[in-house]
Order: sequence, then C-alpha cells, then structure tokens
Amino acid sequence: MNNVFCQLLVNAVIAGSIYALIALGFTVIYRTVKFFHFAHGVVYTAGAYFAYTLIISLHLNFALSFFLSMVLAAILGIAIDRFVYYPLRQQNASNLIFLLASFGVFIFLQNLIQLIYGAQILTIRTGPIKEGHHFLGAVITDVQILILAASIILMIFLWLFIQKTKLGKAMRAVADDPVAANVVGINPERMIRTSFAIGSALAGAAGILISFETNIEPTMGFSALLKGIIAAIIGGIGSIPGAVLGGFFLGLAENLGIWKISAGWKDCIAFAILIIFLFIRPWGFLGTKTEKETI
Amino acid sequence: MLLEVKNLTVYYDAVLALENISLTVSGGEIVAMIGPNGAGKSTALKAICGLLKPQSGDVLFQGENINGKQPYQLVEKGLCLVPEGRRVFTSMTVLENLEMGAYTVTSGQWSVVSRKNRQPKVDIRQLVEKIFSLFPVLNKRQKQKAGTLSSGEQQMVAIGRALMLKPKLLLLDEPSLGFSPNYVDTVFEKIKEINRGGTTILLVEQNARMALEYADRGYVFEIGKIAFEDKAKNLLENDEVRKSFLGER
Repeated sequence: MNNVFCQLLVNAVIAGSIYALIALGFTVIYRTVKFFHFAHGVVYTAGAYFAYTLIISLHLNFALSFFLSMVLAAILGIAIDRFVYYPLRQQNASNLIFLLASFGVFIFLQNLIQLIYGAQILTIRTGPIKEGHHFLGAVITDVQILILAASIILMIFLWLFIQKTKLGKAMRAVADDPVAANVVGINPERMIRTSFAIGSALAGAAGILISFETNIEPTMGFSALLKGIIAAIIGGIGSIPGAVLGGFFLGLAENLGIWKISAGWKDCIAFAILIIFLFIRPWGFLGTKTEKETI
Repeated sequence: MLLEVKNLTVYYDAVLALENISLTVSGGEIVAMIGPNGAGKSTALKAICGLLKPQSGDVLFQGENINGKQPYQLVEKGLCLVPEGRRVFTSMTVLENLEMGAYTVTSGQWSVVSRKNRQPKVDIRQLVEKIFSLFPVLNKRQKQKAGTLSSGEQQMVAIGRALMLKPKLLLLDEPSLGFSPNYVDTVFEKIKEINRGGTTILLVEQNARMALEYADRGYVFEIGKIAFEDKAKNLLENDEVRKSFLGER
C-alpha cells in the first residue's frame, strides 16, 4: 500500500508539472491582456505536433527539437495575437468578443492539425520501452525525470526573467496598470506580444514534454486547457507562483484522489475542486481578493 | 511655444466631449485647466498626450505635430502625464516604481536592473535621490509595496515617477485628489517647486481656487468648450468666473 502511495505521488508530481506549465503560460498571457485566451490549449497541441514533425519526419535530435518546437509555439502565439486579437483590440472589442474569438481560433487550429496529420493517434516514442528507476518503492522513467526537470528549469527561468530583467519588470508593470505603464514609456503592444511569445512557448513546452510520455492526437488540447485554467484559478488568477502551486495541487488532488476511488473519476475531482474554490475562495490561493475578475 | 493645441475636437463614443478647443503653454509656465465635472478638462489632457484619439485638430509639442502618438512615444520627447487616480504599480516597491519612470533610458531589455554593481547608462540612484529630496516620505517607504501606501503617498509616487527623467512638460490630472484637505497646500507648493526646477506644468484641477492661486494662467472649461482664458490672477478677480466657477455668491 505504501508503494501505491509513492507511485501515485510520483504520478501526481509529473501531472502537476505539466498542469503548472500550462497554467503558467495561461497566466503570463492573462496578466497583460486580461481575458481568457482559450486558444492556449491548441498551442499546447501544436507544440506536441511540432515536436513530432521535427523528431519523426525530420529526424532531428531531441534537445534541438525541443528548443525549436518551443520557438515555433512562441511564433504561433504571436501570430494568433497579431492576426486575431490585435485587430479586435484596435476596435476596442469587449472581453466577450475576445473569448469567442479565442474559441474560434482553438477550433480552427485543432481542425487544421487534424487536416494535416489526420485524426489518428501518433507517437514519438520510438525505442524499446525501458524499465524505469526504482525510487522509494515507486517507478519513475527517464522521460518522467526529464518532464519534471525541464518544467522546474522553465519555471525558474520564468521567475528570474519576471523578477530581474527590465523586460520582465515592464511586463509586471503592464499587468499592474496598463495606463501607468504606457505613460512611463512602455509600449503596451510590445508587452502583449512578449507575453504571447513566452506564454505560448510554455504551453508548447508542456505539449512537447507530454508527447515524450504519451500518444498525441489533435483533440488533446482541450482537457489540458481545462486543467491549466483550473490550476490557474485555484492558484489565484493572474498570480505566477499561484499558477505553479495550483498546477501541483491539482496534480496531487487528482492522483491521490484515485487512490481511494476509481480512476475514471479523475476529471470529476478536478472540477469538484474548481467548484469548491469558486464557492469558498474564488480568488484562489494567492490571488488578490479585491480584484473583480471578468472573463 | 512649448505646447500648442489647435482646434481639438474629441468624441467619447458618439458624445461630443470637446469642441474645437485651442490652447497654448509656453516654457516655464504653470497653466491650470479648471471647470466643473464633465466639462472636458481631463479629456483635453488625455487627448494631448495621446491616451484619447481626437476626431480633429492638432497637438504640437515644441513645434512638432504629435497627433496620433501614444503616451509611451512622448516620454522620450519630454512630455509626461501623471494620470488621474494614483495609478502606481501596486505590486512593485516604491523604488521599483521610480525606476520604471526611467524605463526609456535604462540599458537593454534583458539586462538586470537595480543591481548595485552594474553601470547603467544613467545613474538611476541619483535620479531617485532627487525624487526623495522632493518627497522625503518616499525615502522611508522605498522598500514598501506601492499598493500598501496611503492615497497621498501613492500620488507622490506617481508624480515622482513622472519626474524621474525631468520632463520638459508635465501633465497633471487632478494632482490634489487623494490628499487630505490640509495637505493640498503642500501639494501645490511641491508643484511650484517642480516648476522652479525647470519643468513646465499643465494641470487639471477640481480645486479651482487653489489651482489658480499657484498658476500663471488658466483656462476655464464649460461643457466641452473654453469659456474663459486669462492670467490666473485676472480669473480670480473676474466676477463671472468667481460666481460660476469658484463657488462665490
């Protein structure tokens, strides 16, 4: 029984790090644009397919493919903003319009991926399946260690970037108050582009990492998006440490929850937690209570 | 002429907010825009610095047409706005807020700011010290998050942030808002001090009498138009202005 617990804990941390990456990217974008960018989920899917193309079709090595796929995901994010959201901003569109547009982008790109790659399941894993390492009674594979390490490194990089660099500080300034940022000389459009690049690269990274672990399919983005948003909300919408906390919390709750109840209830656990938070603590773990958020 | 506004017309959605107004500000002046709520003085200020797009008209800063430029493009030219309502970066410290005021002159985007052993293009510390000597209370609060300050202190941060690069023209939108009534005098003393330091000031103020006492010239706004313009002293003595706009009987 102890082994089961340890194994679930390992699974929880792996799932949590993927959720945290998606939630982080979502949060980085949300902070500057203040609407829910649902197409974030399809950027995650695209990240996986970029990695598939580079590794399987072009035979590039893993590390290079990882890096290039993140860059491509960032470019995709910037393109979504430039060709969909930017024209809407010029017309002072309401948040509802942005929300609908982001759904539209999601569906369009998901179908585009399906058109190009087909609806069937694809896999990047080529070599024989190696047995994982035994660790405190649990089994952890090389790929899982890679997922955990890569996510943690990305989180640390993001944190240093936001806290220490001039560009990161400017992004924080825009998140705090876009008008005040504008009057001190920060180009708001530039910060929005930057946040789409960084946020999308993080979603892409999550997609790439998951593609090393499981099969990929065009519809994989939707549930990942929902989990990412749930993590962002329970962590405190707009809070960067909150997104990480929410991601790991959700991973733990889901995986430890199925210790006692059937695994089919995993998604149900996630949504139950969301509903509990929305009732009791809608500003999440680290969000600010006073902020009135609109979707 | 430092600032020249010619025939500015601004619509808020479909509502006419400013109709064909013209005004000028010369170097070294303090110019006050007063008038009742909704008269369009704040709108004028926002249209000048580019936060609002005017329907027609021209804004010239140092002879250069700045129509259609956004506020962030004007900072380097020496035109800074302190927006209404203490808009500070609440999650950043007072010091970081002031540093952001020097955003346009600090070194590269990826560089690490505010580390002591670095040599930036400008000496931020020296600029910050000047702001602290103007508002000593901020010195004591420099490590505190700006969101935790009192409203008056937040306004000082907002003004200090705009002064970091010593703008040629400072636009102040309701500078006394948020200060307790007996501190309003001090705020205007500070504005006078900033002006003596070589910064021209154009301000919008609810507290009309106080503004005119400190200003060189004034424009009185009434429903989207300028009703009076004169030396501040003359406006204070003008019976009609006193009756309609300064609340005297």
